[in-house]
Amino acid sequence: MRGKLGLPARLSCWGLLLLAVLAHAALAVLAVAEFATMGWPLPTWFDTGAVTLVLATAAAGLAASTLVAAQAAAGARALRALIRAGSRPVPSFIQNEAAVLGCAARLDVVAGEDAFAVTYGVIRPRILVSTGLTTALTTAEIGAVLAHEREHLRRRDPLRLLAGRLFAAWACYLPAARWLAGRAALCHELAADRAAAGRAGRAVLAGALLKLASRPACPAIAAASPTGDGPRSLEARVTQLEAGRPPRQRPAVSRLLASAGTLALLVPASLCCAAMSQFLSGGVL
Amino acid sequence: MAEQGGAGSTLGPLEAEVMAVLWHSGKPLPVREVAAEIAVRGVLAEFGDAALARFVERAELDPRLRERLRRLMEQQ
Repeated sequence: MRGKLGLPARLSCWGLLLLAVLAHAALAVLAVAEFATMGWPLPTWFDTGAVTLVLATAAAGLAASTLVAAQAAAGARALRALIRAGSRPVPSFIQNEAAVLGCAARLDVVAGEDAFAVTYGVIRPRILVSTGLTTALTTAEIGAVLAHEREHLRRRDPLRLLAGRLFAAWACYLPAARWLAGRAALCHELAADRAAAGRAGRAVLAGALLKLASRPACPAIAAASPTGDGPRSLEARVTQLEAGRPPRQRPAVSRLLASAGTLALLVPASLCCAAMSQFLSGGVL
Repeated sequence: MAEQGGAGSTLGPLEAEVMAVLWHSGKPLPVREVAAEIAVRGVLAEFGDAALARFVERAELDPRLRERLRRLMEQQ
């Protein structure tokens, strides 16, 4: 079971997205300079509309991505406090499983009836499991869960997730951006499942998924995931376990059309914004 | 015991959270443990999905999906 895109292609995609965001931010700075120099409105209503569109979309993107960054920072602080307060010694059988996987030094256990396992930490990722997990699953299933989380650790998925969410937030006016971020998150899960299935076996991984996903949804967490991507993500993971390869994922046509329509407005507006810079000292065109 | 914060529940968010913890525990819990449990859930909820890779989110499983997982389990 392997993913489709190679590392160079994935790096190129991320590089292009980063360039697009930087270019948009630079154009927004230019738009501010143009309004500051020439006042509002600009010489023609077309120019005014174009430069305003560039500035408004960049401002919306900046606000949304700042919100995501603030949420991640607050979550990280709260998680560190929780670990300090509720940390428990790692049970010996989990320590042994983690040692075999080479992640024993980056594993924390926290008190909690709720059975969960997460990988957190953007710079130095770590695995966190609850004591509830140790009672909910068999040793083999815990091994599968740790193998899954270790793959997230190895790939630095918390950093990738944050990058994806920040990009989607910046491009919040493009419906396809959110789909892309969701697809990237699902790809991380599928890759971690491939690693876990290779290590512990498909049946054991399926058992762990069945036991943990079957537990009733926690109201607070359900409220924090308004997209409701959980069941769809789980369906894709089960399909991969059955078929031995990742399922195909395509965005809805309406989403693509809406994004194309927005870009059809934004690209000419960006060109107009860049062209207007000729009226500034040292203009880019 | 009450419903667990479902759409038709008459409980508020905190009450639903407390009932969810007690329901899941299946035994009486001291207030301190319930509070600690809610703190864990609150932190995970606060984190959202921005920079946290969770093994699996709990969800009301579609019976067909549950059956597919059961079949996979039996392929030992």
